Amino acid sequence: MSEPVLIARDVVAGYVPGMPICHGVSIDVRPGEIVTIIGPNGAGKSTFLKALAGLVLFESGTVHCLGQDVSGRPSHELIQLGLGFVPQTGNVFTGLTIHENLVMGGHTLSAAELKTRLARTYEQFPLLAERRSATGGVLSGGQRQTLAVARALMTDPRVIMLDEPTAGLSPRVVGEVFASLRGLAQEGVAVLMVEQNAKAALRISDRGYVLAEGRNRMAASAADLLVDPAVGEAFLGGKRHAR
Amino acid sequence: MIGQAIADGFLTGGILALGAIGVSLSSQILKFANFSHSELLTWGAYIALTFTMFATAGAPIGPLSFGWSLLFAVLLAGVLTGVLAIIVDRLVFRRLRSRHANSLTMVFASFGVALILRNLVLLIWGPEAQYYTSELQIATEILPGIRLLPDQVFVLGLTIVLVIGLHLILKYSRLGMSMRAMAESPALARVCGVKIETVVRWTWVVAGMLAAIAGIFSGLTVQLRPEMGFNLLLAILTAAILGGSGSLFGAVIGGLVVGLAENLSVLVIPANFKAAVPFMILILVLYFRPQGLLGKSETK
Repeated sequence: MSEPVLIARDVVAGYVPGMPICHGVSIDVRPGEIVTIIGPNGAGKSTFLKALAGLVLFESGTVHCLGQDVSGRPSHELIQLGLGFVPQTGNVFTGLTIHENLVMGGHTLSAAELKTRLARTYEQFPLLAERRSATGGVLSGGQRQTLAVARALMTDPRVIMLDEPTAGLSPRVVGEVFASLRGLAQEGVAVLMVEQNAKAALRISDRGYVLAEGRNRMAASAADLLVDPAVGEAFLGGKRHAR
Repeated sequence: MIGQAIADGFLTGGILALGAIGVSLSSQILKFANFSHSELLTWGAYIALTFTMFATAGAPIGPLSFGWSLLFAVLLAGVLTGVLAIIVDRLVFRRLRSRHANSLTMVFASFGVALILRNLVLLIWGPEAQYYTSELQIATEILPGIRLLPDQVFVLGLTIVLVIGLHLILKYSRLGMSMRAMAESPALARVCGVKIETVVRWTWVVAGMLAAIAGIFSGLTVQLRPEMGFNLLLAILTAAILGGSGSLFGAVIGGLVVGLAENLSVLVIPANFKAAVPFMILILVLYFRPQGLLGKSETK
């Protein structure tokens, strides 16, 4: 089994100094693997991802990404190290065009690299190419999510983190988003996501972590979590829906 | 009479628009209403005055009342006022940002900064009215019933050039795009790799430069006084709010509306009450369209 590309140990983080939301969360993610974090509302899942992305107050613990210690490093440094992040809300610039959103995604690239990546992205996502002059604000939920993922992929991240990528999407679009994440993982990208749609997310995941009250509660393969009665009862809609 | 008031309104509006753009940019990107912005106008105007006092004035350019020295002074004052804005940020606002101060704290801090900057101008340059030039100009009739001084035409023309230039920078340059992105979502901009402090620094530079130019234009068409910026503060804030905070063209339209309203009001009310017009506009805007003319409503 390959070495993890993202290792977080005992991460304590939150929004106000001395009042952490995460009280020592630890996870590992390997290349080509989809790892899902599930848990009840207020468990600190999104805060944990934001802490890894350098967006909230990082109080203690360690984070290693692709062999480098990135604990508490600011966001603009993390993207250059190969870490992409798609937030849950406000994940596209609604006042900027699709093209400008993608240019922002490639903000750290040279002009030549940006040109190449834009061409590749438009080839991968023909819908974005067709509507490149439309502003992000006029896109549907699914289109916004596509743009958000495409924006995060502009820098060819080795690790991509997504905060509830299917929130508010129709079942058909949820399937498309999960299929595209599976495709990313097959290309060797490490995918870490937080999902309320736990059952569907675990079905396409390799492993999962359960968080509660800002702490690790369980870590297992996605298949094991799906059949675990305790997890099924608490997060997957009851025992009879666990499978 | 109306034609002349409209022409004067466009002139006043152009100057207000330059100030309002700076206020609008800083309120969107720095997330607070900067009440010390108007003092940057005053500082820019006086820095240019100091340069013209030491430089050889030279012959006036064509029909204008000033020579090349004032044009160089515009450039120099723009740069130095941008630097002054960064220094103020480092000394006051950045320290507050690092302590996660809320926007109200920032606003009160900006009141304090305004007082200090205004009184420093008084201390350094004195309370008397001053002028860039003693040349006399004769207004020429550019349209039937509308007479403008060549300096006023220059101010209007350069304002238009500056607004177009700024639009192109904001629309097409990476810095401009970063500024727009950060105005909309600082967190997402950070995730994209934007260095927040770099954008903040450039925001101060752009706002400071525009303020300096607005101050020089005001000094050129009226006179220089230590309270010149303070006297324009309300009109500038009204223009920024009217246009819709964060909107470049909104700030321009806001400036023009306030300038026109001020100058047209003297046709129906005593000139003494002219200064109250921005107050009335501000109240009406806040009541009927708080998001401004081109701003987006935050209610869903």
